[in-house]
Amino acid sequence: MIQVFVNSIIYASEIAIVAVGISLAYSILRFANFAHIQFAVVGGYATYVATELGLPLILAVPASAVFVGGLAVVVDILVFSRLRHISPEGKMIVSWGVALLIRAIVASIFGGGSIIIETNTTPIRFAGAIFTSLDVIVVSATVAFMVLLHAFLYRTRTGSGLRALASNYDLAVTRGIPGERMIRLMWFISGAYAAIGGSLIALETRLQPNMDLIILLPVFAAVTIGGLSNVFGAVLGALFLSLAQNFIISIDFGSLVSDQSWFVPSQFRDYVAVLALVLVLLLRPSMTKRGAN
Amino acid sequence: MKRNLLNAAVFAAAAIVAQPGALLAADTIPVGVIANLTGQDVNTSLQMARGVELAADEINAAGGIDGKMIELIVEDSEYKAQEALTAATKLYQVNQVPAVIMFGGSSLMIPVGELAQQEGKVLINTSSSSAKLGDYPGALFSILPLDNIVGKELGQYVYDKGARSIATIVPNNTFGTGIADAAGAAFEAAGGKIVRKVAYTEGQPDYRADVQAIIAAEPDALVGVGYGDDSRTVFKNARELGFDAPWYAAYPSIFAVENEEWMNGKLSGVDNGGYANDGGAAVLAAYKAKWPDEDEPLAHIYYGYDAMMVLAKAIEAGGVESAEIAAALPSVVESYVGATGKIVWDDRGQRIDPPLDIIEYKGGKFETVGTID
Repeated sequence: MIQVFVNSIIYASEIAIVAVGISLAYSILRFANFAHIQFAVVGGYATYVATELGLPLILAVPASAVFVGGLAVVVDILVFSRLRHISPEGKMIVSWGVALLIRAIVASIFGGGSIIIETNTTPIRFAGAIFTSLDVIVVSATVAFMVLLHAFLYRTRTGSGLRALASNYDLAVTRGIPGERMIRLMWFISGAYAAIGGSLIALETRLQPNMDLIILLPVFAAVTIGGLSNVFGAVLGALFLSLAQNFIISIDFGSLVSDQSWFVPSQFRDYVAVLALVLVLLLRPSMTKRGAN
Repeated sequence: MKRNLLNAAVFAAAAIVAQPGALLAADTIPVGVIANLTGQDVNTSLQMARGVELAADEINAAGGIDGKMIELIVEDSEYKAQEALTAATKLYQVNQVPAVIMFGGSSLMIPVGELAQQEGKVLINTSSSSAKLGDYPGALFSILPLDNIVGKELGQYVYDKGARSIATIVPNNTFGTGIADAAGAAFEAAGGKIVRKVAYTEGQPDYRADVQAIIAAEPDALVGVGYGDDSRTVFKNARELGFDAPWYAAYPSIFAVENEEWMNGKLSGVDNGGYANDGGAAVLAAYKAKWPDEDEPLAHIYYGYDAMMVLAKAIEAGGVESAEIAAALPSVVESYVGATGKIVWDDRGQRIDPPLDIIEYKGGKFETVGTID
């Protein structure tokens, strides 16, 4: 049981840090940005390139975050800023097109095969659970970056400005908050957090151009569960989803009806995300409305 | 990877040049080749196709078959069942080839075998090892031994190595589960116990939960098969989580080793053998002469070579029609000793009693340390 909790916290950490960026963008611009997942993929590759160039991981990940944060701003300048007036559905579809373009560029540069970023990890056994020193770093990094984001949003004037824009964009702009400049800042933060999340996922798993398809469902499920525009709700959504997914694959269903063990294969955890999405949409139809931020 | 794709493209281009039109000249004998020149596992597939090419070169250089040259028509399966079927349909119906030599997993080989049986054509399997391949007698013939034979030898090998409890980990496909079932049955028959079975879906980002469950079950050894990026990821998870028991496998040479240092001395198993003979040496020499800048060839080159050779001998002995080839194949195989050793078929045209080697991963590469009689 402890193993399940440990795995859930690790998986939730990987998802949450990507998910908060989607919520941040949604809270201000009111559309689900599918390209965000590709920002995470680019972040993973950028970290890989940085390590290949000789940077230690502790510098490679921040460098990747700055690069992808800048990329997100560039994408906004080139694409999304020109679509401010169109419907959220239109922007969402365009974001999918941007995601496909980024994926094609990544695949053309790095090829279709997978890449493993070399790390020196140590296995840890604690209270019957097995995990690694890398897992500890991943969870710690996620907690640290969440605290940092919270402090920024709730302890600084700029953060207050962002929250004001999320609460009522027109009113905030009328009161003198520079809307477009703040949106660019939001994109930078969103892209940077996607890059950090993508890097952590790449360190824990492997890099491949289609890894967006693997993380897309759990990330969007976590954001939906937590409330689309609720940044820290996405973190709770990730934790809830991760617990549900890991519990499902750890129960010996076979022993409940026979003397043979049978576990739900681990790949079925994605269907838990689908089920969670359906339940949330059924039980919380108002979740697409503006939530508390 | 880039070089593999380039090689594949060059090979495909050469095949297209060799076959300028859909209608083949009457003084050639068309032979179909289906390989995954794009998609996954390209390198091993390309090696098989090169083995076929070397055999065709040898036959044509010696004057062909009754004066007719072998004409290879290569199609790409992309390692997808639907594309493999499209390729086979084109080869059998449009190009009118009497026989196809194919590389691909069971998920591709079985549907193409069904098609060959329906069309009254011949399919020679060089890479798939599902026991279900024997369900198409007279149409599907295998140069590679089937899983149940290799799996059985693996189960006994693991027991002989001293393991008394094992966990199995395989990809969830006919190849993986076939090996796991056969190895597990042989191991249990010898007196061992299976403490955990894992069949994972390919393409997952990690297999952490599967490996944790195996570690928790505390087996004496881990038994399985794997290939490509997934096997590398399983090794990564096992290494990082501190798994330290021996790892026994069927066809360990097709694993993608993730960390040489960690893997050294840990991985061994039963693999196809029999190349250490005059036939194998001749193929190796021809390979190095034709592709001097390439790395050492994989085992699949020998299977491709033998497939083309037995097919040519069957055409020579029986005739160029599919039915004549199917009828002649079992008898010509009886007297053939090829690059993969002597080929013995059961009455379904499936290879039994193959030469098998015991190989170990040492010093960053696989070494043959014994054979199974």
